[in-house]
Amino acid sequence: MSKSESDQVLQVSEVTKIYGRSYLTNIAGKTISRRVVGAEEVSFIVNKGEIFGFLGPNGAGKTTTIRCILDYLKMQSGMISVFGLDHHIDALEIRERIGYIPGDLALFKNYTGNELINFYGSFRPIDPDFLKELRSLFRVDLSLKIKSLSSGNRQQVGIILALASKPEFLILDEPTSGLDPLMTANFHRILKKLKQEGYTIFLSSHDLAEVQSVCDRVGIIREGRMILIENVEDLRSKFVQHINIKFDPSKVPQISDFPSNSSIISVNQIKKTVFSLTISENINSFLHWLRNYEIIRLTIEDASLEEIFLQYYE
Amino acid sequence: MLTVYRKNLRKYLLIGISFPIVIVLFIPLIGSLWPELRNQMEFFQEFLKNPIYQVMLGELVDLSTWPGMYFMYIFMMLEWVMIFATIFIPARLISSEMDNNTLDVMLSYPIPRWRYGLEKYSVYLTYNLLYPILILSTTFLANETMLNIDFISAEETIDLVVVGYATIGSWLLFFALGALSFLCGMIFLESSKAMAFSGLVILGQYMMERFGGITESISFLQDYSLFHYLSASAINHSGKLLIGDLIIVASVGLAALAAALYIFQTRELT
Repeated sequence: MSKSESDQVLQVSEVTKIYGRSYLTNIAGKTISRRVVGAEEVSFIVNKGEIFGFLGPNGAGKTTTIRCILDYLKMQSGMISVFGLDHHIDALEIRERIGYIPGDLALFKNYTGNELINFYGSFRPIDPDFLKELRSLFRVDLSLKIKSLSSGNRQQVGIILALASKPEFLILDEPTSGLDPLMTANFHRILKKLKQEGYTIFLSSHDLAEVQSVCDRVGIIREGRMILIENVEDLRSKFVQHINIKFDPSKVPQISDFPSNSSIISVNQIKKTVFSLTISENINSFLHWLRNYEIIRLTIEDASLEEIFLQYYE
Repeated sequence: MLTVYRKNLRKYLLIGISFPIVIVLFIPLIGSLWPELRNQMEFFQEFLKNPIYQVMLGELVDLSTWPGMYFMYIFMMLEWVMIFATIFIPARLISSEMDNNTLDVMLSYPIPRWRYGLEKYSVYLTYNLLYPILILSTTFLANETMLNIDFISAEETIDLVVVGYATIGSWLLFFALGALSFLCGMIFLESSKAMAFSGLVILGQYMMERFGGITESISFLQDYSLFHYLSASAINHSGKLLIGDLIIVASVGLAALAAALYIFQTRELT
């Protein structure tokens, strides 16, 4: 095995998963059948020690790809290897070294968090020091039964279970859904720490901000196809942002006053003093120009994934 | 070691022990009422000659004797518990986990699926072992007590060897019917469908056994029913555990269990 191959923790090559056919009746009453594609020729590599973000809207094929990696689903074609091992033949050996949080997390509801840690710990030994650290970071009471916990607290238990053995490779399918911002921040802190220690993380998400904040590289999947794999920094430069500004009525600019040499894509006047702008890349020059005015309110939003897809296609 | 087995043994403790205890409690109950029941049963015995009762209660029942009464009540109840338990419990062992999504996390740990399924099925078999153990021990105590207080004579005591054969036969039926139900669970991986289909399979076999006994022309139906083999009333009548019956039931059970585990190991978890 070459050096570069040994650095690859996950290799997904041309994976195709078709669920079958769906049948729809159109307005003319004609029945149309079409393939239900879960993933189509999806290929990517996750290197040792990186956090790879797997982005896509709901139904894009993220979970299908993950379930193929875990050998829960059978692929029509393609190849998957984890740690250089075949994901199907060597499934048990692989599972000794991975941690997984499913997108739709469900735990045995009549057990307490502590009982579940002991139970799952008998399959993959717990790292006691790391478990202690996780207990201090997450505020869930592990002595309570799962059925008595809120969905956010259950998610915290799921995170603790997946991470407690400090596995070499973490597969996380939308792990922060249901978590409050503080717990999300704590979780991101742990991911960054694990990355610094050389652990590898595969993070599936539809939250652009989450991927931006923790990932090194990102793959974007849409309608079952991988449409883009890039470094997060490079992708960020491709994002458009939406800005809403409310000016003080004493001095309101005209649309023609907005700087034409900055990266403004469009300007719309919503009300007399309120403007909506779409800006790409660097907004520094625009913010510099804004200093000439008194601002009452300013909001900046990232573009939606769909917009990034459209922008990518353009 | 056997972590899944031990976890589920605790999980199903209450339901696992409650049914065997309820059944064995009937032994001292009908034993204590036996002197009064004896006279009434002699009267009812005439009714039992009706072929419909013979179909419902099984052939060769003599309610005017303590062993006859004992076998009819205890093993008829055991048969109904068996039908209920085999339809609802094994079919749901894995399929309910699919319904609840708990398998997703569980199978991400290094345990082969077949072993996970086998350990869960072994819990069902373990609790069913309580039936032979509790029925035998309670019958022994009931025999001794009733003899000491002159409720029955020495000739009327129940043959514990025959009870042992009948309970072993029942346990094997629990195993084989349970394995068929477990197989339904693995095929459908959805508890409502799995229970519906296992109900069809198990109740279908029960009906074939009972209706096949009404007339000679459809008696061939009984050959396709597991209830026809190792029946408690036949064991009581013959005093033997037929090896041929035992092999048939055990073979069906083992084949169904192996098929269920193979399907679970190889199928998709959609």
